[in-house]
Amino acid sequence: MKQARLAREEIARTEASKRFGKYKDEEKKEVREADVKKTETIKEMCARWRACDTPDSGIPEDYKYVHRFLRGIKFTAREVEEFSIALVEFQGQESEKAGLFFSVLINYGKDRDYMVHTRHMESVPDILGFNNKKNIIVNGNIGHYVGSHMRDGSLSVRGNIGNYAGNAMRNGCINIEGNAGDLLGCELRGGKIIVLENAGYRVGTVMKGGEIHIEGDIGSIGDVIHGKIFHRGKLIVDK
Amino acid sequence: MKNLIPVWEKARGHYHYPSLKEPKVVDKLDGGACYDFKKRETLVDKNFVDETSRKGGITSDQCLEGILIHEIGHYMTFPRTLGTLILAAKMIDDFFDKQDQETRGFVLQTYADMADDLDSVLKEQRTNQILDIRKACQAGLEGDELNTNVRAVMLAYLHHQAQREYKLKPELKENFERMKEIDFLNENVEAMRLGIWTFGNIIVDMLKKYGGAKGSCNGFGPSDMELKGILQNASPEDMKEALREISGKITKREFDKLKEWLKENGTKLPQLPQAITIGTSGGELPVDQDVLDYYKQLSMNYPLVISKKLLETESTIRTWSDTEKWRPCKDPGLALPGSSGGKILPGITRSIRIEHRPIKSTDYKVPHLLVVIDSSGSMPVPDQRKSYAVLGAYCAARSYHLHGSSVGVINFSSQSFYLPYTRELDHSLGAISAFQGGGTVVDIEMVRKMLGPEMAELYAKNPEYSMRRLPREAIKKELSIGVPDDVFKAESIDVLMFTDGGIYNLGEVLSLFEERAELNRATVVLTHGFEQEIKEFSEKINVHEIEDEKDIPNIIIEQTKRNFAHFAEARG
Repeated sequence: MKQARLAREEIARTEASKRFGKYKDEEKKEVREADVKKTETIKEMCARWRACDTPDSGIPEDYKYVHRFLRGIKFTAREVEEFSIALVEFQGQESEKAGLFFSVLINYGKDRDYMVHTRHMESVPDILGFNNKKNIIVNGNIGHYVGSHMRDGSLSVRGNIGNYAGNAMRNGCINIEGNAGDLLGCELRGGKIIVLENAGYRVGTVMKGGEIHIEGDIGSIGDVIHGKIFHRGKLIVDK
Repeated sequence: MKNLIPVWEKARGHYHYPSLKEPKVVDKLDGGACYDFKKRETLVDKNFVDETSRKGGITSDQCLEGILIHEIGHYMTFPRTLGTLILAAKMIDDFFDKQDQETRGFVLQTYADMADDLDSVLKEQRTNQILDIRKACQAGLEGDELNTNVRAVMLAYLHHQAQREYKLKPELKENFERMKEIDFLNENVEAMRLGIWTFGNIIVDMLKKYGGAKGSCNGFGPSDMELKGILQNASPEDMKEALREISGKITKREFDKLKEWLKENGTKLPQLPQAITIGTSGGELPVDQDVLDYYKQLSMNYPLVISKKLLETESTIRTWSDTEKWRPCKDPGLALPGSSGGKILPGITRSIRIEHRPIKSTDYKVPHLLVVIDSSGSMPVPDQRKSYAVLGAYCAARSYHLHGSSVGVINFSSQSFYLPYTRELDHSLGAISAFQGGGTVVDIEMVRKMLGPEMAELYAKNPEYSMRRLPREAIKKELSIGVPDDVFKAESIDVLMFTDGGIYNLGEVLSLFEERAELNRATVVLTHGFEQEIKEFSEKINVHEIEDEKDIPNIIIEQTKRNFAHFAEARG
């Protein structure tokens, strides 16, 4: 009787465990960590960005301060582009500081052509391209005072630009694929600004030279002292 | 393929048996195999398996196992969710918008393959299968210089990670070194952005070097990242889930742009509820449903656990109140046969009448919530930037509401307005996310009144707001209609203030919170800069800082910790 009960229990257990037959003890296998080569330059740039606290004493003074702060870093155009992608984590901080950082990196970099990505940023950099002599492409929108005091080279914006674009620019070319804000080419002294869409109010205010080409609508024209403004290919201001 | 099911089970076993449908064998499939995200099934092309195993010199079972491991990897590792796929595709579109659609699709496909395969080669039980199938696929690309070179770099990378030798042409070494900088398996969105940018540039450079003519991207491998089809076929529920996931990873502005991009790609986005206006003490307030939905979805990522509080409650007890005639439908246990000579006679025998009598007792309950939120100019505008204050307040309001509590709101700037305690969650949330953008003055009187019996006075002055939707006659009759009675008891309300500091009448606010620290568990949540030194008073006041949205669940954890501390002190 006892034997019969034992046999019955055994059968029941075997039947029940059949469903789990495919589950076996796992063999111990190695699990590796991915080998990722970290770029030290970006880390260094990010560390200096965090530590940098601009004195807020005007654009030229702040620019000099940021330059002193970035002294000693060696970088390539690709690393500047990579930094613009990494910059998203700091976007709560000032837009001016970001613009000055890029301006210094580009002006003192060894390469000729640079790209800055802004599409992912919550607040976009201002004052980018300050004292610029290089070729810069901005992928996305950009803030105010972009291309300010630009001396040479080019600045192409694949998006919209804020107010005071090309402020006191001396030479070079700014090409904007989107819209431009107010006071475009304010105090412009030379070079060319091309806007493929609309421009805001007071275009060319106190302009003393150079050319502004606008393909879309114009809010209003400012007090031009000297220079040319073209609207859809037609010369509308010539002083 | 007679061994399909055993091989499938083996492949599934490598991932600890995920719950997936059995694979389907199809006659012709572009790319050879894919994981269909819409139907959630794996498809395999029989001819692709035969041809790859023949050309690559491996058995068809080995080939099938490699393919199935790879396809399950798309479900388990990358992209795993629709949200990750959308995010990756949007990043590629942002960085490589000058490239054609085919190239962008190829970057997405190969990036997803690399992330998936990398995870497999790092786990020794899957390493050989993936390397074998990748080598076999490589053998089938003879004569196609571009494809061979791109795949060779990818294969070299996988061999490097698997700590195996692989001979790579010297001219491709530079690309291989660049690929080593990519952290494919890092789920952080910024790491993914950098990775996609680096990876895309490698691919674009190779396309330029080895011929990027149209059509050359075809036939690279499984095309299971066919984005347009996935986006257009995704159900609104799937999309809602994906957007919820994405909203927690990126900024508000990028999220808005992503939604526009999805619309351009023909995606059906979930419908927003009808626009509402809410009655506040400041007048009718129109609610931006887009903002409300964004923060509501985001708040679902951070549920808060609220510790209960010992409060006076109204409950009932069963008592013997009287006797009545016993009827056959009634409980015979309650019958009193003594009243009818020991017999149970319907209509004659008396029975006990049970009554539920209300009594006052105490019980642990979740209190109601008063949210005091700063919407001054120094706070981020909720529809432009992710506001941690709004998000934190949403999380708190949702969690209290889930426990059956009512939520009242005071929104302060230069002027303050209040929303009476309500069970309408959307109304509370709408009042929380309203932005005024002025100075920072807390209306102390309003806070005091909202925290106690004086609330009735407040409502009496503005009955049209507190008793909205009720006719005037009804309002006159009963001031407390629509508001739970216990809201008028001071101890049954928790108060949470969300601010970035810079409060003009800080002294008054601190003394009020100090006074209410125990009674109303008054807590100040500091966000976005917290300029003033409120922390100095933290000995007496509950102060919590939010520097990142992931700090939000700590608001309540801090409260709970304090409660435990008081409990421990009391126990001595």
